[in-house]
Amino acid sequence: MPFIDVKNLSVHDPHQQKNIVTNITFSLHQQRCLAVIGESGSGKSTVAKALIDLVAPSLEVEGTIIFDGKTLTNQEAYQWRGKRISFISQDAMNAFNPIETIGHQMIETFQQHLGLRGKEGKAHAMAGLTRVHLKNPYDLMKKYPYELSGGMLQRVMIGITMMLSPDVIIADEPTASLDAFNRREVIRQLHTLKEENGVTLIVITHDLGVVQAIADELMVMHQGVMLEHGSAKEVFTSPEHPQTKHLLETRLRLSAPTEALRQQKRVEALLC
Amino acid sequence: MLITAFDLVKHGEKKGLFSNQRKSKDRISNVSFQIEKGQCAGLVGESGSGKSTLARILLGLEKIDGGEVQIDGMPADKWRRMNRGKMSVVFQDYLSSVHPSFTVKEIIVEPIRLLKQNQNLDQKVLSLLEQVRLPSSVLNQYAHQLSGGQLQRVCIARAISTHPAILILDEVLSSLDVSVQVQILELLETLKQELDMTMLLITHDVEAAVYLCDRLLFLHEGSLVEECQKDELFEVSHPFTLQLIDSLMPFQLDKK
Repeated sequence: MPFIDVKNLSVHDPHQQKNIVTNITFSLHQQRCLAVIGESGSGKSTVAKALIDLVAPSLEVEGTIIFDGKTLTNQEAYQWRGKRISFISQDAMNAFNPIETIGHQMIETFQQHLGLRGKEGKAHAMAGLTRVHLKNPYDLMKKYPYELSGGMLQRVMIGITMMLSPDVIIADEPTASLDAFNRREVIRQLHTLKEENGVTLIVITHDLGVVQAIADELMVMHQGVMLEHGSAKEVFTSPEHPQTKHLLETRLRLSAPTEALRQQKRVEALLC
Repeated sequence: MLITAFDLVKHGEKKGLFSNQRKSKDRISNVSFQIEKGQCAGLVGESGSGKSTLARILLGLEKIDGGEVQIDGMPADKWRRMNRGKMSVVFQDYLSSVHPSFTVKEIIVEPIRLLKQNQNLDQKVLSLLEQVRLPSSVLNQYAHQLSGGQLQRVCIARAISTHPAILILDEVLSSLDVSVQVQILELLETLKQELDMTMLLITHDVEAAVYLCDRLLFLHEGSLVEECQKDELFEVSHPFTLQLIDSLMPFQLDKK
């Protein structure tokens, strides 16, 4: 039985009289990773937000979302959000409270979801920051969000998510504001979470390199419609829709000169 | 044409009036490099490594605290004054680098007008649009009506409208989709061959730099750690560069 089952998910904008997302249907088993790719404006972030009822209240969401055998309603989404389903948002800058320190926000989150108090919470926060390879976690906890760069905040957010040990992690462009080294590190961490802790992952991204590193299944979106859905391997080797072919081909062209050099020198690419 | 930078130093700014921080770290420390005429150099570095600061120094938008920049054998300030419009730049944030109430035509025409080369403006704009592969129907549209890729093309058209000798591309790709990035890279590649410009591509993406550039300069925490020809990419030795190349996430079809 699939862990997440989404049927006919549509998001409608009543003001502009149009569908942002139309008829998305997919199911995902436990300990699998689904990657959603598409160009900007294709509605992939909206799908991610609709899964945990975080879309703007003015939008109408239709369709059923079954999570671990239960239909996800507003009330249940509220209970599960954070503890069982975690969301890593795209712009880390706006995800934090600007007038509280990082440490305070982390401890508050752990208190809310895990019931940890005082020193326990603090130790947990330190452990979370260490897991994402942030330097000087003790000093970092005393800082305010504006003092950190976007990439660092993104890693703080991923650290919090890791320590909450949820069943599902929905990551909306987790690597968008990170540089190459940190991107690899974050992807590696997500990969270990999936392999060792049995986390189910939904990753929204436009970077096909990331997709290839962690995804088992792949969904291609274009203008709010699901074009293709299947195992990542299959979609990569035999893409059906021209839009998918276009996405794959352009990414290949970007890599081509580097890969040619790599082959020439016979240097192996490190895989996750 | 030869850009020579010698021992550039740029101190960090003090944090604030009441900050007790004595001395902040240098943003650029002892950077020296040369870019030859017609060459395309790629400046690669992480965020915060000072690559944009270096570009702003070359453009004269920021003062240096030590060292010297020479272009064509004369000090950069003097060269820039003598050759107005011969050094162009394209920035990352396309939306804030154009005037919101100008049409595409006005945006592209502005630098030509400033240089008082007012003959055949319409024709010039049309040929520029053709050069950046944009349809002539965008001429009377405003910036907000265009997509990111189209607007970045408008910015490139504006940059090449004065026939610059040096073109600086500051993270032109990072806020675009991957498929659009490739289109822009291909456009820059053809422009590079057509116009015979000296180019400096500033990016954090090694793959993009390899795609376009002949030579790569690696910047790390304000200092130039390594430079290599494109073909020598996998023979680098500095730990930072190695780390950067190891953390590439290539996309290959046959492996998986």
